[in-house]
Amino acid sequence: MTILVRYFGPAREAVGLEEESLTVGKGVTVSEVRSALLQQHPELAFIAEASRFAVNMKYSADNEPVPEGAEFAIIPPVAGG
Amino acid sequence: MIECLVTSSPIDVGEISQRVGDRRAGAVVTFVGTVRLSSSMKDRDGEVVRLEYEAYGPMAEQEMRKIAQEAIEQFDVLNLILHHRVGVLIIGEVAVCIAVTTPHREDAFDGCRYVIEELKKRVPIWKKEVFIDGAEWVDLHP
Repeated sequence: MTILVRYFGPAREAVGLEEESLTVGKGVTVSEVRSALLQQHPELAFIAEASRFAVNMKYSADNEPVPEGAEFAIIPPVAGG
Repeated sequence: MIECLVTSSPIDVGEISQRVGDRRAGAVVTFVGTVRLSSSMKDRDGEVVRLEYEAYGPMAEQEMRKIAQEAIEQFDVLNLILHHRVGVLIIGEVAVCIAVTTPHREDAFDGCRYVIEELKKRVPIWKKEVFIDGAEWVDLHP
């Protein structure tokens, strides 16, 4: 199945993309997608530990499932205000 | 009334402070966050040329609305307007404006404070400090 991965701020700058589609196995979890992304983009390693992840615009825990067609965003440490 | 917005247009603080008013309110507290000269990094003090803000727009507005809802429940807030700017901002420009009305002043101060503190923790917005000789994402390495 396919998901849409979105990159913002330092993640966008590191990868050089705003978004891309990614093919993953059915029933994958947040942490599995995270591993796949790190394999594809080792340049994300420097923020991977500090980042959170959002599935369909909601912060999601490592073990949560990522549904087909989901929007999966890497959320590096935020700095609003 | 709740109004949460991520915008690339300049923020009109006076207009927001006025519009948040309510006949039931005895207090209006407005917090305005502005772009300052001094960097968040100690060795870079006084060298910021501009800030570049970037947001995950729809999620940012959704998180802002959640925070606003929490403020309404915890602090007796009547109306809340929260605008956050994105794009390139120069020194002195308004990056964020939070206006809160409540029946009594304690809740207005506390509610407004709650919103800015939670925004800084949860709302997907990033900022980059740009110097004459480089740039750094803020809070990237806490």
